[in-house]
Amino acid sequence: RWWQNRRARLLCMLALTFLFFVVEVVVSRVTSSLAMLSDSFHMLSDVMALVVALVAVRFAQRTRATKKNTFGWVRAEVMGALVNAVFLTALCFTILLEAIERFTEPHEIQQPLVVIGVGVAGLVINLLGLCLFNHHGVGGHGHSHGHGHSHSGRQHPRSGPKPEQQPGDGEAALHREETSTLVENCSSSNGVGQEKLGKPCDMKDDMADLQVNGNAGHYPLDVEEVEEDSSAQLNMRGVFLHVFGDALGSVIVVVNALLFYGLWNPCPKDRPCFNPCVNNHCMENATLSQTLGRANGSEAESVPVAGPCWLLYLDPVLCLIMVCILLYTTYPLLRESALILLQTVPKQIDVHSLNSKLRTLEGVEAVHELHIWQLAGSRIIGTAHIKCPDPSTYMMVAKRIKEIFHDEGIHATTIQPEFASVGSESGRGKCEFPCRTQCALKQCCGTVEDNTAKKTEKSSSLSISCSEVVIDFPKARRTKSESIPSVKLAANTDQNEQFESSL
Amino acid sequence: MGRYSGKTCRLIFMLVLTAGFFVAELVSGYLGNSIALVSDSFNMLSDLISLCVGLSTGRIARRSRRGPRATYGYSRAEAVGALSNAVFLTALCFTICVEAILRLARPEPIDDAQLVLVVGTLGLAVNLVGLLVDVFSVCRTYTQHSVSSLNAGDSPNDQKSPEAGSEKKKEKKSEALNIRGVLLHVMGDALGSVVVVIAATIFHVLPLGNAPCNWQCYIDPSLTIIMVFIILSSAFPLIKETSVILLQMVPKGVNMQLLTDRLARVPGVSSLHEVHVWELAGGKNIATLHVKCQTSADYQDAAYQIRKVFHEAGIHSVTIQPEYIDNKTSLLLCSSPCISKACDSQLCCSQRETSLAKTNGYAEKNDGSHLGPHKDNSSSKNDIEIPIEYPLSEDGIKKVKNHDASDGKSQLSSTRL
Repeated sequence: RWWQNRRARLLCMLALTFLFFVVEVVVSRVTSSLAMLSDSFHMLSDVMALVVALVAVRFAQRTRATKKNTFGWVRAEVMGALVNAVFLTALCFTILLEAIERFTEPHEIQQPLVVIGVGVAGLVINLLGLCLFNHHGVGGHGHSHGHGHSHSGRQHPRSGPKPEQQPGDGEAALHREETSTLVENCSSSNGVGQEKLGKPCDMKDDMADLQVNGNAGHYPLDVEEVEEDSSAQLNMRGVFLHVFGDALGSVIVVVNALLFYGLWNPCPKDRPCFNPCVNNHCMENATLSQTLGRANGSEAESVPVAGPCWLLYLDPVLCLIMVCILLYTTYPLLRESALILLQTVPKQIDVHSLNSKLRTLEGVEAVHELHIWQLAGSRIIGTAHIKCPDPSTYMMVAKRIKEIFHDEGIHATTIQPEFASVGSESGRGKCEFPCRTQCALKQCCGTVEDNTAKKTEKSSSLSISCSEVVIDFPKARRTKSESIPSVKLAANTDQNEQFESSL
Repeated sequence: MGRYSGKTCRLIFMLVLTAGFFVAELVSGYLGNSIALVSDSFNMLSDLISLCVGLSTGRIARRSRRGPRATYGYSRAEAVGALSNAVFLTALCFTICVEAILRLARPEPIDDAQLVLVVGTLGLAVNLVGLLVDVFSVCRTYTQHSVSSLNAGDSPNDQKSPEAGSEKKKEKKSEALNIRGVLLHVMGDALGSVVVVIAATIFHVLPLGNAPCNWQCYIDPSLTIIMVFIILSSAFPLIKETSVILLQMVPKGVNMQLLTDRLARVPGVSSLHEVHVWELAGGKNIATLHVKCQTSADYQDAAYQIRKVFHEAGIHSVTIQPEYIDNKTSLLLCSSPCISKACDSQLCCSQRETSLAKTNGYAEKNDGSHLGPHKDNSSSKNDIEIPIEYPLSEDGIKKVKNHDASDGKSQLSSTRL
């Protein structure tokens, strides 16, 4: 079912929209209607939004770490969503400007019939697009929240055919920049599937599969399924909003043209006509001719007056309403994608409670540098420094720590254990690493852990949070390695030298 | 610091000035029917937005340092704001381009050349004022920064002089880049105003009256298209720069290959994986990695060295997760990804593919026997399925796939097993 593939949908809509744009341009040349030409460029902006979304989707499918991006490109979709949302806001702004201009200088619609025809066609295409992008979550695979339910797709052996993944020329170029990759073969097609237990994994088979140039490790079906998560949804929402805005625009155009066609009394070209809606200097002539006409009396009918003026103001008013609707619907998307890009904590996670849960574990003395952020979608990443009295305590507690994180939905964690020295019980020893005060400005958070909002970056006190005091096991260290003391002495500050000598 | 209040004052002044001129130029552009003036007003709008972004992100960053909603603070707001500004400007340029093309198809004269001329000249003046203010402030921050770095880093400088020296050189280079960027940007702005003035002058000097459009009418749109390209040429680099930050890419100037090579060579490190380096904002680089060591003492020895390697690479916030070797897991796989393999799709990088993972070829400390107490944290639990592996073929893979490892390294690792 090709239509569940996001890329296919985007491409299809892209083709349709571009085609329609071309048609509109041609029609506008034929009928020499400037309004239609300018309207056709709205379709072009749609095309651009689709292109942005498509590029984002292409990027985001490369989930592997590369030399340029150690996280893979999964975040591309969030960025695509942000770009589309900002783009839409800019378009709303220009529409607003146009509407204000129309208020001051109302235009009539020339050839309303043609406009109606093209408007309806555009509306149909936009409605089709809305349908395409509204149901992106629905489909055979639906949401798999990573607990690897064995979908039918995932159990395909890796050497099996991959229908959806056409390794185009682009793919090979993509992989060229990736470093040498090692695929862990046993977990290949079985996240939590049934077949992994005890099955001797056949490395040679998978090595044959691994082509260094190509689709190595590209799990097309897996990737396609699992990724209908929130980042993909964000991207599709951006496109959806664009198409929605365009549809609204088409609706306005059609409504306006219909009303115009029905109600407007145009000025016939061959007779002097009074157009009260347009303020121009011809009004005096018009009134003059009107009085003349009345004076003559021969023409029974008065000089025709161009139709109800409020019709001319309908267009800008409707445009204003449309802008309000669009901004109202775009703002949540903008906010959400911006929050992800700002590395904020995802809203379902409460850092305070997580912190307290970690602290109350026995064996954990302190927790600092706790950072939680969302990479994209359901991939949440956490890092923390855990202070324990000694390594064996840490071993006992490590699994519990990971479980706590797991329960919150944070699965990619990096826990750095720190061990208190015998001498320093305050828990915050001096950092004996090269990153001292001079690096304080360049550390992500070079402040004391309690969230006092001082400008402590600029303070010169040694409040560096990378407080790992490596003073324990002095005997073991000295017997183990010969080079360590010399290294430490060379790089220590004076304070740490005192520590060493006291031991 | 006192600098903040002065800067804010200046920012607000520029803000008000720019906003006023934006409105004036926009209105005059529509009244006078000059597209060039309208596009220049959009340029000013973008400047206005960037000023607002600068002000508000400065305020946000200062106010809420690290709350429960954002563990890194909001220092990235500037990058997001800059990206939004650049995209906004690009979209506006797109619409201006469209209008210019329409104008070329159906030319219209500039109606009120005097108004356009006057406003255009005033806009040029405002741009020049902005240029002076900007250059002034950049110069001031540059000198202040260099002074402060001299103050903070004098004592360790004696020991670390080569590194500190290179860092200061990097700072100087980045400051110079900053100045150049600002200059380019303001020159682009000024160029836009110059274009407007040219077009209006032509219409002023050679008034068209009621005659049909001649060559004069084509000047406005064509110059506008040129201006659009100038504007875009300053917007695209900004987009690229902020993308590097926002997409969590490896910051410029960090060579992952070199870095991982150096890290793998640290004594005590058997292998490392899940190496991530990214830039938070404004030169603050963050790294996390997992290292596999034989013993806890190995780890503690290695930790210092690892941080040193990172420090030399310019990365000062590092979180290291130690893992201890057991023979059940491959050296290149994470021993403790999460508590079960079911979470694989939600890991930041799938555990099924280990790229950028390296083994330490110089394994002088690795002696086959692995110490009991330092077992791997997660291996004892049943819910983690550790794949069975064939050590020989693992080496085979290393030989074949690990292009970066020298042959010597793979030889050593095979002797270990």
